[in-house]
Amino acid sequence: MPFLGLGNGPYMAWPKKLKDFDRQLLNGATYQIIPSPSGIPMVKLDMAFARLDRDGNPVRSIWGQPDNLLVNIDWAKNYANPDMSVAVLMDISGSMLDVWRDGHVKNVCQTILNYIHSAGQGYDLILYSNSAQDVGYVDDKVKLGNIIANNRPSGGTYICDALRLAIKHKKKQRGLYIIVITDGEFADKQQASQLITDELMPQLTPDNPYAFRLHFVGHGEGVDHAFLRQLEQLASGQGVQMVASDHHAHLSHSHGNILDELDRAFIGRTNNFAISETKEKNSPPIITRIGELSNQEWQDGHQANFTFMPACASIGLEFLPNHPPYVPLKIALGGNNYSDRDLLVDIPLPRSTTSGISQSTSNNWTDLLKLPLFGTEESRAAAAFLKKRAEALREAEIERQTKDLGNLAGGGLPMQARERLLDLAERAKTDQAIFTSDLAPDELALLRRCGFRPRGLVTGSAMYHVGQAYASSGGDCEVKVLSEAYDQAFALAIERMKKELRLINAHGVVGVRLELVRHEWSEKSIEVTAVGTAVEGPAGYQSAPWTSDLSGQEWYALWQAGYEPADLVWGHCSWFILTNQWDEQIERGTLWSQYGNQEMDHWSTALSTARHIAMHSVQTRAYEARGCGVVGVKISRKLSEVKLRGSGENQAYEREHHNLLLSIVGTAIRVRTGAPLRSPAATYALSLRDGRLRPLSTKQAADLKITE
Amino acid sequence: MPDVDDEQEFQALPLHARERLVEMRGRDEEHRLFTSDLSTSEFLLVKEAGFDPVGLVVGSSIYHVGYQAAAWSKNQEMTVLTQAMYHARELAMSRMEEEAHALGADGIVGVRLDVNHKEWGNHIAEFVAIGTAVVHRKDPHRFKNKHGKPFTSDLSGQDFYILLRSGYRPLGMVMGNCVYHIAMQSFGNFIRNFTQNTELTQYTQALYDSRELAMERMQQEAEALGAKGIVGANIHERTHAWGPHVIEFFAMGTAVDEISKDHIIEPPLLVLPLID
Repeated sequence: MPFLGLGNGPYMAWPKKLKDFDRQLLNGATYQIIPSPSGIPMVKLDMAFARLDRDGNPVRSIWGQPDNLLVNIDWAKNYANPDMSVAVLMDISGSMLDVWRDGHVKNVCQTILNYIHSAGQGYDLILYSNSAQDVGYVDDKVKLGNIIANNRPSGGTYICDALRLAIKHKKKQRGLYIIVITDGEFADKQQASQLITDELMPQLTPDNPYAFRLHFVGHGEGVDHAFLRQLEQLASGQGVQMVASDHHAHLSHSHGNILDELDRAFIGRTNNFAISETKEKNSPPIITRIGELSNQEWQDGHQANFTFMPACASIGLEFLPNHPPYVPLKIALGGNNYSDRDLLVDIPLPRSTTSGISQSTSNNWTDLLKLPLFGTEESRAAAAFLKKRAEALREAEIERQTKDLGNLAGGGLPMQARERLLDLAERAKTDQAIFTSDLAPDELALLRRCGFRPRGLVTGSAMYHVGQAYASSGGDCEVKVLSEAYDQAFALAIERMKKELRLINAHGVVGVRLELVRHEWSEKSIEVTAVGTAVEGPAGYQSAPWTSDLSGQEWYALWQAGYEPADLVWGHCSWFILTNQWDEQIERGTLWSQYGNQEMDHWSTALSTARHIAMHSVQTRAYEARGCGVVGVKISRKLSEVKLRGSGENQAYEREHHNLLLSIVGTAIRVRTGAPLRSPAATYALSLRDGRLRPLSTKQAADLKITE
Repeated sequence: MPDVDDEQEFQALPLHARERLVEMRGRDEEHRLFTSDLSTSEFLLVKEAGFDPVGLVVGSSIYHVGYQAAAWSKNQEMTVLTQAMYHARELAMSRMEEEAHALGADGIVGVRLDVNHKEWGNHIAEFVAIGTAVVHRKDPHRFKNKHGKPFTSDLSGQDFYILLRSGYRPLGMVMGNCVYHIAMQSFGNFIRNFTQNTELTQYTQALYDSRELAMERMQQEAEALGAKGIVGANIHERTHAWGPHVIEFFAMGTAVDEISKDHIIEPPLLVLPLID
């Protein structure tokens, strides 16, 4: 699995296919979120423009799967350049015999034919060896097959005659696209380059950059690279690219490049093909990088112009945390014929974007080299641009965090959580539904038996600051501040979980795991985190949202018996135990009782009082939840030693006292409307285990843990 | 048998591991041996589900976790650490997968993924993944994931059995993590809150941020596998000796896909075991 640096964002390891496009223009686009070159999240959109052949079959190209590359045949007819003609110069020297016999030559010719058919045209085929042979206009498969069958490669490689024939064919057409397929050195290099310089190049003007286009396709090892390179240089001197050359180990590898070149030359009449962001009023521009996939180079800006219609274009949309949900893009095919076919696409941006404030400068020391001192004018401008963007990012992030803080303080949920849940809820309505759950498969299966399906993980958190606590030096007492702090923290966390539950449109939460953590770096605060799986009831099931820490198995047993959870209930009591003289003496054993057994009634009383107080708030909550009982009660307690501090003289300041924290969590249940109340029949089973091994363990909802 | 690419991957395993795997693969049916860390009942249930265990597979990675400074007043993700913790787990997992692949396995059940901190290095942690490779008796390859690799799952033998019975199949373990720096309270806040019971919203926000990121990343991995859902997800908050105010949320679960439309198992019998 590729690791994408995971940085500050919702990166996607694999591209996803985008579906809702105007199928007239492009049927395939993939969407991926990767880190941009400047290290912030970026949507990378790869779009493929391609066509069908006359029979409706996709024309293969290197840009991906054929089904990515469909363009309606009618569209291709309308927009292909009618003035362009194509000539294929095929080498039939003796060395081509192998590829000729095994059908690869025919395949290449066929590929080109398929492509041109999509615009309702054919091409001129010229075979050359010692001399050139004009076999005429080819526009159907049968004719092509006959030509291939009737010729046998033999002789040397002379290109000049063939080029002349091709040029002769250029009559009224505006442009001529020549594909030269060869496998070896031309015997008439000098004459050929002379011919190209004299006959072809003068016709090339910036006004008509496609008057001629030569594409050399090399096959095998014997290709004369030096010559082709020399030609390229000749042509580039003119300021217009005229020559392209591709060399392949085998002819069968060349199809992609040929199609790609055909794209440029044939459909490429539009020299205003542009992709741009259509700005909504007042909205800041988002696109910062646009590029063409083939050369992997990005350009910064809000618009990209191509001098031809690319086979594939990539757009990078970098985005800031506070972005609109969509970026409207316009793909414009320039020129009169094309403007009516502008493609408007809304590119979705991920809902949630990032957390953390990204650093404006990376930790990499090589960045020092990019300091203004060393750079050129351009690189300095680029650096300034990046810095500005990083600044904007940071500001946006601060803004987001501030907003989230406001949400939390108002009892709401942070944006990111909201969006994850809304996304899950939205997707549940489509075929892209996905659920997340922390339930074991058997728990899920049991829930499914009752018609409940899992929807998503819901969580709730609260970090709570415990205020200054006071205790009495005169006797035992409840430390209200502490009890309330724990109750409040639980209430906040669970209230948030319920909010999430409502957002995801589910009915209840099963298997809530409550965790209480005290961080050593923050002595006076407690963290409560609740995690559980939201489940949705069967059609027609109606109920107030409930939460429960029961496992799937327990839930099932309850449901079968005619109950359902009403809500999580909890209670806390922090009980201060003042160590008095009496206690000290019992402990030291200085009293008469030292040889006898005796109840330490101070402790007993403390424990039971604390339990009653905590249980009382459990009950109160259960009443509020309209429960008829509380099940699955877990009691945990923690004893800590405390010292008293205060003004004045008091013996109590010297003794060690205790604070007992009692925590009770359970699930209130209510009678299910319409369900028959019956206790399920149990079967007695004698396990053949001898007790050394525990029976198959069933996952239980974790008890409340107090860790320090 | 592995093809050329697989052979290369296989050669990348340490010599001892290769020897062990070759030995377990055996010359023929007669000489095949399997090892596993399944309990007896897990073993029987895996068999019942139509799978044969082929061997215990292990992957480990000892990773130097880098350093990242955080502004103490900022809530921020520690990307360097997130990446390190993710990558190291990923390495351990993929090594284990390679071993399973070399055994010709269709999947790995009961995977445990542990992090141990070493005493001999401050920033060094060991990541180990252990599980039992299994192969389907009748229909090998059907259970491989869409990348042609064995599925992984942290479900026990029992859970695995029930998962298949309830019409799901595991696709792979999915995980997401986020190491996060929780900002310190400003002095003013500290003074204001000192005597009061109050929520520390800035801390709460940090918890949310990091947990959401971890969960989102886990979900994305599941989507990439083409999963219909995640079961047995586990979300943990941990502090790995990074000092104060830095926590990691780690979310891990098993991505599952449907093999039937129906996800109902037979009604269970309520059983009262006569032994405690």
